[in-house]
Amino acid sequence: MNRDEFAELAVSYLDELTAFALRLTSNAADADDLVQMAFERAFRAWSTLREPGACRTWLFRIARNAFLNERRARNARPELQLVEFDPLRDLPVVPAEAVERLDARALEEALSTLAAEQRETLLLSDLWGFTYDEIAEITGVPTGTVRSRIARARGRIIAHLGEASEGRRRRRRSP
Amino acid sequence: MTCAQMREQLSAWVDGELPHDLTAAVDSHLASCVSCRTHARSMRALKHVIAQLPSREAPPGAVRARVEGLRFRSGRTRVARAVAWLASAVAAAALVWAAVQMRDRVPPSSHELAEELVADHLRSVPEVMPAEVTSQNPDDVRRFFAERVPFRPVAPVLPGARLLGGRLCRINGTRSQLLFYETHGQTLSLFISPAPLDTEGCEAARGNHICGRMVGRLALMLVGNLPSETLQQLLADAAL
Repeated sequence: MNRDEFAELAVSYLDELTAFALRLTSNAADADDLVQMAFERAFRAWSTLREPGACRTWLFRIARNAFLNERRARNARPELQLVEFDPLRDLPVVPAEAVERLDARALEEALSTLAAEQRETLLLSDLWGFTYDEIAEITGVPTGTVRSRIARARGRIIAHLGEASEGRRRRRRSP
Repeated sequence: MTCAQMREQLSAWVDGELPHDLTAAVDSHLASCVSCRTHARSMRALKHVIAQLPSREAPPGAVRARVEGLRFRSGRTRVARAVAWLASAVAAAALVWAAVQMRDRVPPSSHELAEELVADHLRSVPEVMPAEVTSQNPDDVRRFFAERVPFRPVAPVLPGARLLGGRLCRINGTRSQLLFYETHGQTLSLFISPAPLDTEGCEAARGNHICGRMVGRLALMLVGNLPSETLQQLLADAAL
């Protein structure tokens, strides 16, 4: 792959990288800066990319690392990690039809209940279609951790839906 | 395999990420367990609804233009890089010399800023580069800048001038607004920034004038090929 081919390929992922950056930063202005920073780094280091097929994963990893470095540079306090229950242990039974009826807003609300690393891992899998190995490459954690984060993220969302539907049932019953 | 052990594997099974032997074990359990089958279906449904969320987002035109521009910057040869380095070293030396020469005549910050903004005006007007937002409606223009600049965006009405649109820009590293207007057959650029700037009076650069005015904590700088009195009057009458 020569430089022009790399440029062509990398720029074709610009819209996906922008959506990923928006998810990371939750802010359009910071996402724009992050995308530019990521592409600047990618264009500086393009020759280290061996396989054109790995370009998309590589760009996501660069964007993620740039985001983390930037956050560290701002001396942001580490995100509060809550010790949470294991959602897989007492998974409520939620019919698939109820999940299918979820609109984008309710889904975003459910996603917002996840720990940041669970949400990120789940979205890399289900929204951008990366394999567990590719997500491990992007996030720098073992594949087993990816597997566990995705399982717990799904369990957490299903538990959230179960709680929400139970709440609605209780409100209907009360006079 | 018990139901509790199944729950650990279901998610990876939905993704087709289980090794062959475990996949077979999950298949066999699901064939006989209604509860786990329901969980598997709801996990698959969840995967499906997440996949429907938008996975692409078009960046603002300026970001796309900068990213596209990187391919040309990184494509320089070693010789070209050496020439560029030499040129920038010469330019830096010339700048130092010019700064020393002009130190006592022109306040460097305001003159340098004027030069820079006039240069931005010349290369960013919609005739040269398409605006990122094209609208005569101030509400549309404000909406474009909302969340893109670190202040509440404005779209001033300049009496006798027609709003054309705008684009994002940076002034002293601060994200700022650049708006375009048309009057007297000329395109004007209005820079709006919260960066601490010297906006007093007017300056001339490259055949254009630039005049400034502070409104609250925002600096407004109007650039165009019109007499400085006209620009000053437009700024003085600007309604935010």
